[in-house]
Amino acid sequence: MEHQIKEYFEELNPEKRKALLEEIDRDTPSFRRELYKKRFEFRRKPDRIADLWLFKCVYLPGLYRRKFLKKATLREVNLTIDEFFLREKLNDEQREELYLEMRNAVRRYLSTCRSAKYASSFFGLKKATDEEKFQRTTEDIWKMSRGIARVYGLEKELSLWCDACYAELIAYEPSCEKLFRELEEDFKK
Amino acid sequence: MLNANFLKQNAIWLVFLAEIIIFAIASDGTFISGRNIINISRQVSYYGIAAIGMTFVILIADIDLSIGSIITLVNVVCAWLMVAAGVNMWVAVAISLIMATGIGLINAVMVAAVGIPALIATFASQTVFEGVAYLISGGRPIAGFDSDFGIFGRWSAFDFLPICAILMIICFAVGSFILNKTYFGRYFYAIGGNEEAAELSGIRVNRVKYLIYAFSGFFAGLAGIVLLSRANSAQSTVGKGLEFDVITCVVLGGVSVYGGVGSMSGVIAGVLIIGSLTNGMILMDVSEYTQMVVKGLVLAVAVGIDCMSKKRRKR
Repeated sequence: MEHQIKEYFEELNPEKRKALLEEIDRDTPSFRRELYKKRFEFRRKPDRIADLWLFKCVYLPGLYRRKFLKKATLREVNLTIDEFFLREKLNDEQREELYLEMRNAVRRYLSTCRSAKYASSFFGLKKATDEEKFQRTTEDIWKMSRGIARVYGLEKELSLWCDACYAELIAYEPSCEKLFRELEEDFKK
Repeated sequence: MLNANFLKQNAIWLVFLAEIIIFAIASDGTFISGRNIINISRQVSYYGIAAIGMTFVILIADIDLSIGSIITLVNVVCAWLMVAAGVNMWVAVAISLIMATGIGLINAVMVAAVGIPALIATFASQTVFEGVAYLISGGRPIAGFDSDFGIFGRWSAFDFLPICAILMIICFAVGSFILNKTYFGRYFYAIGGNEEAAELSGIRVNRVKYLIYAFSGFFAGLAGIVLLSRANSAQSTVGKGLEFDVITCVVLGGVSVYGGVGSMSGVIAGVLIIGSLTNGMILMDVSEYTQMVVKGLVLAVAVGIDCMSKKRRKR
């Protein structure tokens, strides 16, 4: 069972994860199932699989950059906190599962960061080097986690999310750690 | 508070302010006279309207080079419908806008469905539709519209506020609403930030691209109508090179050529800077060729700043 649960949190394909979830839980309600539903269910069309948390990964850096509409942006960040279950009272086991689910979402995001299109410039004509991709990836991860948390003073609320983003970034590319620290220093300045 | 962060965040508006002061001094105050401000608002209206669609396109890290030829074609077709075919003014405007939106959709098919890079696809359609405009007009100007057609470019509300400027403000409000308050706006940023992740998250990227190019075509068409009304005569060369002015406004306004970054407020500043620069240079009696040199340099500087900021972060 433990092996299956580990496999479930490592798998990136939502359909395969659903099949694994059925095997693990066998129709019994669980926090894992609740997380899965919250993350992948497309509310307007339940037959379609979406990934709300992956969308947050793409959208949060955009919110970080917003210069105007600060109140509306804060509302959106607070909504994200709710959607990440970060305001719920969770026991240790649930918190661990939430952390693993978050890491899974960030890992899925990072799996797209090696594509040819990612970080390309001049309307797709100039492809990015690996170094440029790592730089951009680190910036995006920092903005969607520590950056947005600091700008809106939500470090405590978003701490689990920030930890998951950081851990996954370092696992993805260890050299990003230095870049991440530099962004932290730049922000402090 | 005038700290470094404030200056950095509002640099574009400070540039605009500096430009106003320089031209006001150089023209002995003519530049800031009420009449000239109204004149600037008329001049920037069609740039501004076309820049909204271009903003959406550049936000997803694409480009639309066809907007100049869409403006030309709308000019010629709308004029031809009203003068040669005797179609009612409003019907001619509606047909022209539908046609412009359709051209945007053709661009989207080439980019999203066929997979042609946006630069090449829109360059091809630029050439095609410029040719079509020549074929329709025979290279001759078309004039003789109903006097009511002046509503889009020459009329003013309360005798001082140009209707074309009001139209531009409404378009900016709509553009800003789309970007900040709708799901589509979020999708634009998401696609520009990381297209593959956006697709995996459930966004139908190709459908969004159709929408964006349709918007780009529509706003370019509307800009064409305003320009036609202002000039009161259709020319088959009127939109030539306009796409570069519009791209300059958008990039100068802080929309990154890397995609995913930018706001409508920045674009408004970009439009005002380019509009004032053009007007100021005309007041200073600067030749058209020198104006081209200056605008080209402004585009290079704007893109250069974008690239340098990326490089600085890399170091």
